[in-house]
Amino acid sequence: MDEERKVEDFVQFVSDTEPKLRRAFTAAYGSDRGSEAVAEALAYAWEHWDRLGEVRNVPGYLYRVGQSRTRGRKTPPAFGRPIPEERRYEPKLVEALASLSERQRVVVFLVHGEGWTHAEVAEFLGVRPATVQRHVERAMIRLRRKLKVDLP
Amino acid sequence: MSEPLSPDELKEQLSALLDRARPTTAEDAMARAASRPATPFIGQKHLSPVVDRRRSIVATLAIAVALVAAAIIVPLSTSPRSTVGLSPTPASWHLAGYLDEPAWSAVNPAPGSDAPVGLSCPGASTCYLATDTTQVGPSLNLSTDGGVTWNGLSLPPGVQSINSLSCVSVATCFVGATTVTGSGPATANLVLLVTNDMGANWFVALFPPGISKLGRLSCVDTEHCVAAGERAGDGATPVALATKDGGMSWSVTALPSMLDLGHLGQLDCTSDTRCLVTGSVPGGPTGTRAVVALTVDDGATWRRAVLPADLYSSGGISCVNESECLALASVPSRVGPGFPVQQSLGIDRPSADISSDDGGRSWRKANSSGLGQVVLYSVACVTPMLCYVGGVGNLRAGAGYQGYGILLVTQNGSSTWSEVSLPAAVGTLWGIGYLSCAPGGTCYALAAQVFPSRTTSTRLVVLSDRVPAHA
Repeated sequence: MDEERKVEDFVQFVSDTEPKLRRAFTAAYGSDRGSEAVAEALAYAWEHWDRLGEVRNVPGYLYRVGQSRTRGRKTPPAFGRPIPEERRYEPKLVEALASLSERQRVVVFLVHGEGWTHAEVAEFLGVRPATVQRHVERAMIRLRRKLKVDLP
Repeated sequence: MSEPLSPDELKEQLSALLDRARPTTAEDAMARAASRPATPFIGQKHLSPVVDRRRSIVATLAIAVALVAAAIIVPLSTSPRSTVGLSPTPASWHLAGYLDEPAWSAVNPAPGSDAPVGLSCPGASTCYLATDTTQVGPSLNLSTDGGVTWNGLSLPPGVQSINSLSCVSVATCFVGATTVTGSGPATANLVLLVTNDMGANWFVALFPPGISKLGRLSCVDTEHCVAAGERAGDGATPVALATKDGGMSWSVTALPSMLDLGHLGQLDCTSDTRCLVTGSVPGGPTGTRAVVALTVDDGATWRRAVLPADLYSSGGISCVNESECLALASVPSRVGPGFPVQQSLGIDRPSADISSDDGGRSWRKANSSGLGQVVLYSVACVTPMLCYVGGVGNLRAGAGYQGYGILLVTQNGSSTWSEVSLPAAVGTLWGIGYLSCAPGGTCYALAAQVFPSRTTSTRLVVLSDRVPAHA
């Protein structure tokens, strides 16, 4: 593969994969650290582009890469600027989301925010769909308790 | 109760939060990759155990945390290093620098010994090293060039001793210390020293009254720290001290009974709510039982994890994220009494529930190979698959402390371990007592260099897996 073709392929790959990684990492870590994790994962992908063909589930694999390469940055998830005031929103939602475990938060975002199916989340995270369902259920119970509102 | 949120409203609000992260372009990724040293490719089966978990019911239950239990001492072995049974690996470690100071008796984390207090490397080239010896007293040293040179930092007036170190960024460190404001022990205060500017200025926070001793300290950000301590009274009650505001206020909760500071191994917090503590408590046929206790509510309550029955102590622990940790523990040896022999190393993986909030906490040993006969003091993981452990190999009973420093690496989640080839320039080491890996993966090890007489002064050796600036 010549270099030009390789770059083209990588650009297409990033176009397809980056949004998925960005949403998952943002859910896990907040916007700043989430962006950093995406950048780390994609840099790793480029560095090892020629070997990614060995990997069966590349987005899931890179998610693990990003987790590992930003390990130690143990900061609470921060989601950036406040939601614009004109939009009706639950004022304690960010705080309540931050109280979830990382895994719970990710599945809630991906399932309820992005509309992923349990199977899609399971494939991405490398767990069984039943595990995703359990995390979602527990997370929603916790959010209801924290927010004191009825949720789906 | 507020007005309920519909599914669409919840989706809208969650999506809005996710949209705040800035996108990464292919150009960004390529530039980042080009700007840093090459990294090894890690196969999917090592980095992501997804497929393995699906194929194995047992492994399916073991998603969350990894615990390594360690170590062997087999006495009366006079074998040279090559007989330890460990194969050198191509892992490239370098001699970074030295710290000369008299009176270190050993480089291990044993409480009360004249040993370094802690090594914490929050940046790829930034490390802090705390020491406290009888001859020199408390000292905090900083290196910003990857351990090549070290500068002593000025501590606040009145600091009599330091016993713990935790750095959360290159600029922000916390130090557990004792200060004396007058004369005599009655005026001693247990304090948390906080710097946000690499030691140029310090804020001194008092621990709550009634705390008689301090142990390990672990901080996760500029606000959240947990320390182990003992509360004076009817016996020494082991407690956890937690702060959410950088030491301005503290909550005090009980650690598992009998887990006093003399038996505390390590404390490691992985988030502002979640911490693990290792150690041992009296009991069992060998006199002690290993303990791992966990809090998921910011130290308010601690639960003992379920461990294999044959572990009699646990020590170093390293967590790579909220759910995956590696810890060291030991089982009794079958060889003679009178020597603190240990045997075997295994990986313990807790059940999947470790990452849930239903209280199920269990660990099991894994089958590791390649460890040989070593006592391990410290563990540091770069990824769930790539971890280092440091300690002493080839110990002999009866003739005192006759081991040498050893560094082992696993690249497959501790299924197999191999000895890291250390540069010849470091000579023979007493032991490797501390390991610290910075975000991004640069790791450092702290060892003591062997001198002809072990009763005289020695010096600390800093090793790193990055090429030092002077190389």
